[in-house]
Amino acid sequence: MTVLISMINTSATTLLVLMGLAIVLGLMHIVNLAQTGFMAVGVYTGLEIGPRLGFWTGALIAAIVTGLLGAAAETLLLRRVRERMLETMLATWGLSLVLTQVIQLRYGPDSRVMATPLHGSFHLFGTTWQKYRVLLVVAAVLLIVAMWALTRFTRVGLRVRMCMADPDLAEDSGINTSLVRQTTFVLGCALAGFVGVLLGPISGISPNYAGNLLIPAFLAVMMSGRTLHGLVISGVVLSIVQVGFAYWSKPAYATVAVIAVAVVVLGVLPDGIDLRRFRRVHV
Amino acid sequence: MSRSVTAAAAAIAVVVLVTPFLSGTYYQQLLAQAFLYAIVAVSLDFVWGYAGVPDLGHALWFGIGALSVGHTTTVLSDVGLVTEVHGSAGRYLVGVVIGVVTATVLAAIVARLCLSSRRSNDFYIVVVTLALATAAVTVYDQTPGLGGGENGLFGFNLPGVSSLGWYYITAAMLAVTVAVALVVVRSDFGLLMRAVRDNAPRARYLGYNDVNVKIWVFTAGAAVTALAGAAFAMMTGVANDGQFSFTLATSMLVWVAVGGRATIVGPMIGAIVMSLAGAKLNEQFPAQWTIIEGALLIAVVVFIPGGLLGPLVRLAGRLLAHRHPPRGRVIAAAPAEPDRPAPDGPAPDADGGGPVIRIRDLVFGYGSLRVLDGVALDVVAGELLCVVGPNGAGKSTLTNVITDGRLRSRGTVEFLLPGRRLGDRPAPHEIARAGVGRKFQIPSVFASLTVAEALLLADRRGALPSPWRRSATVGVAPSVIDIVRIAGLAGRADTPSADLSHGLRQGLEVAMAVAARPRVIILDEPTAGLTAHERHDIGQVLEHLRDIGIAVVLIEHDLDFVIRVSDRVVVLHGGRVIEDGPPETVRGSDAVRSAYLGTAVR
Repeated sequence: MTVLISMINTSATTLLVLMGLAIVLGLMHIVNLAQTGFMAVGVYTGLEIGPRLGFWTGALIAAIVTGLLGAAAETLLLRRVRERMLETMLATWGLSLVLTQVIQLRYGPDSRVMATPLHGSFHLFGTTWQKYRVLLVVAAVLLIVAMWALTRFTRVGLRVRMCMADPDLAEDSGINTSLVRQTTFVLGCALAGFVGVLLGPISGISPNYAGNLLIPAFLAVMMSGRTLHGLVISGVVLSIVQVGFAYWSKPAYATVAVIAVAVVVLGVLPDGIDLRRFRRVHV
Repeated sequence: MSRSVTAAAAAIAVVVLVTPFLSGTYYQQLLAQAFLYAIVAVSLDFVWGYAGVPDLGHALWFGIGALSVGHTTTVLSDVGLVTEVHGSAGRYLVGVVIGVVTATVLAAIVARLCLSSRRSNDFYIVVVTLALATAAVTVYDQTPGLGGGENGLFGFNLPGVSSLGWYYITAAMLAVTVAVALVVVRSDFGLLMRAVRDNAPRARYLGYNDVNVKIWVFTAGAAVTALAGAAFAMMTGVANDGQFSFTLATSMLVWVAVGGRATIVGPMIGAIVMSLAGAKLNEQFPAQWTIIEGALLIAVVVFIPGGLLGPLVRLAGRLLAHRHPPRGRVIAAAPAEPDRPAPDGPAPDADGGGPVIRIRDLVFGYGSLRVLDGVALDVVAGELLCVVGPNGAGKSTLTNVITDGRLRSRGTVEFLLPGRRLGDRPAPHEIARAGVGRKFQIPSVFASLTVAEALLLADRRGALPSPWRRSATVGVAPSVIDIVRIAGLAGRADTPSADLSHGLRQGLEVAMAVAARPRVIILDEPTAGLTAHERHDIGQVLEHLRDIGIAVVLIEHDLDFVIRVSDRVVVLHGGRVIEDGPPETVRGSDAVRSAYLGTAVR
């Protein structure tokens, strides 16, 4: 039962992290390797603000700070290497190093802890659930549903999907794709900052914060066939593999197993996890 | 070798030999380390710069080499502390061999998994290599029996070699590495590496197995890096998780990026300078140094794509090499080889114009959509066949499905070509090698290759080029020279393809397809963007190819041109062949008229 709970919790964490990555990758073809750097900036902002103005204010301000940082990065750097995936990866990777080390200079390498805004636990199905972790699961589900609703039912979502499908045509149809792209990147970064604070109370906080989450999240994004349900499935599958291996084998092998699963899945399903494929009749 | 190259090499040799006498032991060690890092940078440049495989976890191979030497020469306690050092020469040798072999095998597996997937792209490779390096550090730290866990291994340095000795050993290793790398990248194989980096699909349809080329280069780079790692461990007597870490891997990227990708010498200088500067700064200001590295990486990638040293190195290279004639200039003077050498079988026109490709019941589709719906077609040697049809009829798809046996959903495509029999679903490079050439609809060329270099690769039709020889001339068939002339490429043999206009690229594509000495040539709109006059000339070349026994398949929009040049016309509509016959018949056909113009509603 503890394993199951752990799997659920890890899935929620992974999904929270990978949503921001997926938004930015899907729309801008930017692989944001600085995602965890932004999360680190977020969590340290939360550490500064939280004790004075409260946890949730801290989370909001963290989102604003990382959003502004993201806007600056997009305008000054990433716009210049538009649609060049490798260059954006290297640039964001450099950015990640810079952010991490600036935090290290300012706060030192020591690990810190963040107070939980929601204490306590409750019993259900014969086991103990920590309220805050359940909140995180709810947050992950809400985020996914919000994403789905946003892209399906709103005008903004329609525009975003147009930009994803064909940026040139979208531009010619009177959509300011440049603005849409910038907004998306800023949203992705703000989300990273917010999620950084959300995960603060359940993690050890050091300058290299969430570094271990980046790889599974990216592998999950890679596995998903550019669909929302694919993202959710890959995130959950990789989390289960990770927790399972860490529990029944050694945590060290979990990291290798996660990579192996992702590579094998992509070997079998080169287009990633996309349930719509199975529904189609093959000629 | 020209005199200036010799002079430059001699000057460098003198500086390298004299330097250690002007500095103390500390700097000798530092320089020896820098030389090893330079070897790593050169190997990464080979992999990333020339073959275009971005290995973000290149430190993994370095760490494997170092760990292997450390593990074979030490005895560990249960908790992973070094209790004894076995310093026999044999053990060091075993350590080095095991390290290099392990790295080679693992790299080959990783490369095959990463590169042969249809999903393979930069993102895939970056994430997997980064993930592997990260995983390696975790495994290392949590397996004390392997490499001492977080403490690492220490104290096993090779006895009896002074720091001056190491200085010369590493300098010699670096000199050999750089020399070999320079020879390879300037050779004909170096051309293929760049071709695969620039445009893998095009290389595939010229008969080259692009995936294998990348796998070999990636594996070779890993092996060299493992060797450098092993030497590093023997020299310093230290093996730890830092040698696997993404911090080191990032430094490697920075060396190459700053030095200038695809210059070999640039990354070498970058590694030496940066690691010397880093060694001093890293001791006192590790965080600041990493920030500098990160900022440099961003700056170079975003603002100076050629690297800080790249332009200088390129300029120096050009000055030194100005006596070497660039490849090609010679196209027009090429030996008048016969157009159809046919070394492996009878000339195709000998069998009386039988079919060379037999297509039956060919279906291609996804979901409920059928782009090709039961196509039956014979392609005959010595015949100029035109495939026409309205937009969306499936013409380009037909080309794709013929030239890549793995794509079709159903049906058969038989290649009745002399030579080795092809399997049921051959890969594009196998089909190309069998003698089926193609030209893409949208011109697809190798950006960094000159016209002559592109023709050189096309001419070899998938035969692996020599990794050391640098062909000075490109011998091509007379019909290729005709095309080069008609397309206006004459005198542009040394122009990089990236600098060609659309029309010239179009001509280069046709020339490449013909240069491969095909038995079947499939041309997707070769006349698009050409003037009426050029069309006429191209038409004559095509007729010539037909006359010497090549099966020419032309996909065209221009019906007047089609009717003038073709022997037989096939009309595709909605994925089916609705008409197949001589041009006159097709022109008068009601089915064709309604396919193009629609049916009148009464």
